[in-house]
Amino acid sequence: MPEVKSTWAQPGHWPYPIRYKESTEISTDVLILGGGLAGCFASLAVAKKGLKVTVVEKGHMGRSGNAGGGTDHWPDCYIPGVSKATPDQLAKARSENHDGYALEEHYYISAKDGWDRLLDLEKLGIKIRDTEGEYKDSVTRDPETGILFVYDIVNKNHVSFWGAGPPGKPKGGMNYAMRREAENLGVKIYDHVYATSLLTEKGKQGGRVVGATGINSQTGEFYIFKAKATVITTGWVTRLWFYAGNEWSSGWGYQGFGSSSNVGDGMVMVLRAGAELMNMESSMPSPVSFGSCAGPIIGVSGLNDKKGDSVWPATVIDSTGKPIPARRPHGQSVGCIPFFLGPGAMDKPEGEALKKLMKEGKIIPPLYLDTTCLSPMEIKRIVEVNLNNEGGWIETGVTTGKDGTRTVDGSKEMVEVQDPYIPGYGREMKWGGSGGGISIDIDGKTSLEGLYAGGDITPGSTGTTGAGVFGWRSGNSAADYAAKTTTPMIDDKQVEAEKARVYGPTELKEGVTWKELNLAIKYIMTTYCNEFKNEGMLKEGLAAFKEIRENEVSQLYAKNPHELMRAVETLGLIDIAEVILHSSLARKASSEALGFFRLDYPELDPPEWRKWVTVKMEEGEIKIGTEPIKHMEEK
Amino acid sequence: MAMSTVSWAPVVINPTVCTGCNECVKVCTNGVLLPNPEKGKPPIVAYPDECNCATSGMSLRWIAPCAMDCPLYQKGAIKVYIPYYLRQRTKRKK
Repeated sequence: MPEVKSTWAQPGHWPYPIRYKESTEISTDVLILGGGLAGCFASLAVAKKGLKVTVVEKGHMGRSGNAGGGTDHWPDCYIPGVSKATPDQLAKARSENHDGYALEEHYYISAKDGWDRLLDLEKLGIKIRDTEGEYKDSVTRDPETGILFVYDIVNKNHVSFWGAGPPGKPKGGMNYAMRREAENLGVKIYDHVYATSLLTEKGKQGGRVVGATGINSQTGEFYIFKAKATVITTGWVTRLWFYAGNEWSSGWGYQGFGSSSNVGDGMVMVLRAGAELMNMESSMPSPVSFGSCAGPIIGVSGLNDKKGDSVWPATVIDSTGKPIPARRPHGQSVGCIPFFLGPGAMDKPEGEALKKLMKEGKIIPPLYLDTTCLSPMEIKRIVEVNLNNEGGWIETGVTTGKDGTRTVDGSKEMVEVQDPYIPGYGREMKWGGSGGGISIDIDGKTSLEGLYAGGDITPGSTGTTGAGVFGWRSGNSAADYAAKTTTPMIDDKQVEAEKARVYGPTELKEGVTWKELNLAIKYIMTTYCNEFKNEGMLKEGLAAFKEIRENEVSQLYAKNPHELMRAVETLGLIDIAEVILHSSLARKASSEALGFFRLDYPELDPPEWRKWVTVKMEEGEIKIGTEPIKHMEEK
Repeated sequence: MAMSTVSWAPVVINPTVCTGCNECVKVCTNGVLLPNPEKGKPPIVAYPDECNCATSGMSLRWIAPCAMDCPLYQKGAIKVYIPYYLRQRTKRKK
């Protein structure tokens, strides 16, 4: 076992040349910040129009983001001639699932264009249907087309496919395929460079976006990207609240769900540039999880989370073998049948109802996912399509394996479902329609001229289908805008001010590390902005951030370019945390669908609060607004 | 290579197989790995506690680029070690 030598991370041992503050200027037509699923699609959309594209990616384009390793599903899309639920039915159903707090037009577009984006992937060599009839008798397979479905096999709107590529083949999968295509089309990619700010015309907050600045996390050098149009696809926010178990202090790791490099960099940049964010108050640790900390290795997800799902078409049973009368498998499906969680699934006891059954002794935990009744072919399909593409590409981590990894034998073994007993373990941006982020229109345009966004950074375009569709659309819109505009001027003062800000942590030789600061942020958010909150608590949270800004922030230090990246990320988290506190103060009502509970305004969803809370910065000050929720007209 | 004991290095590189091509360093999305200053030697696991792939059980993230893109993965050059608390417990059906 190689010993980890911490000395390697010391400045004297840093393997790359350190080039703090050295600037490189790059000019492009369209700048894409973030090379995940949405960013990959955006880059192809622009490149295909013959414009110059530059992608700036914190990690490695093709591998970064929540879908970097692949995916096994493409939900809520309409396949002409195959799907039963139409795009408007899907949009309405998703909206209903979020009790009307929804961006129905966005869902509609996502459902309408989703299949086209999958066809794009197919053209790049990604397998999206069982053409060889390998799973010919599977109940999940459409006999005409060979397409496999998940969640809802009746309506055929959620495609199951091979997004990670064939196992054992390096550089496989959908995002890598798009990276190769982008390179073929001449897209310029800057890996290991993280964007830190958007540049605006004359340096004015609220002005046209004319590019961005960035830093290389290996060399620490500075980049000035000049662009006619900018697309931002940097994902959602993590690292804002404490989780159960996986903190640095416990020795391991840092997050449960999603990439821990997704820390809302884009939201911070957009906020500082003066664009509008919305629904940020519904970003919070969910009282229930999307997935248990171990369960989703095989795709078992929160029984008590109505937004969760199980990709295994199996029954969940309690320790006595009694089937759980589970909730509807995938809330946003239209007319879902109780297939995935077995008999009685339409009874769907969610959350409290399941706990009640346990307290009454009607359900005796632990609970298990029982696949033993499935045919060998269905189990093979689950392993080869679902697990190999999303869940554990190489091996599955199990407690009884010799070295902790092996494949679960679904014909004999049942997998323990852990969610119901893990309190307070959740995620930070809520799934589907009720998360916060950058406001965009259905073409991916933000409230600022020259700035477009897509993917998990925006509400209404999340998930694989949303990221694919809105990545593509935002790229297209940015290209159209860039084609008819001139190369902008960069404001030197704005660049210099950003340089002074981001290199601050390199000026000190000792002080507060980013981890200490990040733990402080988690402490404040967990204490003052958790499931239950009131005005006093939220104001204490803001006061606490003022304290750390005055003390810890000024002592923040980084001893190499990697730590500088983390430090700059962590500074951004404070901005986002404050925005969440401000937005939470503004919503003077509680809402089940938003997962938002004010102790001082306990009434759930009063009609006057069925609206969005928006937030932006004007002349350096936070401005809160509200906007009506637009419902889609019948198509 | 024994992997049965608890390690605090989530990514374990076998120095006898690894040729030091640094592909894993290139694709790691979290900057966990650094190239070895000695050419041809295995990369250094510099930031083990920032390894998102292992600490999310490789499952919630469904990604471990260092292993996925290692040209010698099949020969055992690299292994992503999932800590016990993130592994899955199973039970044989009676």
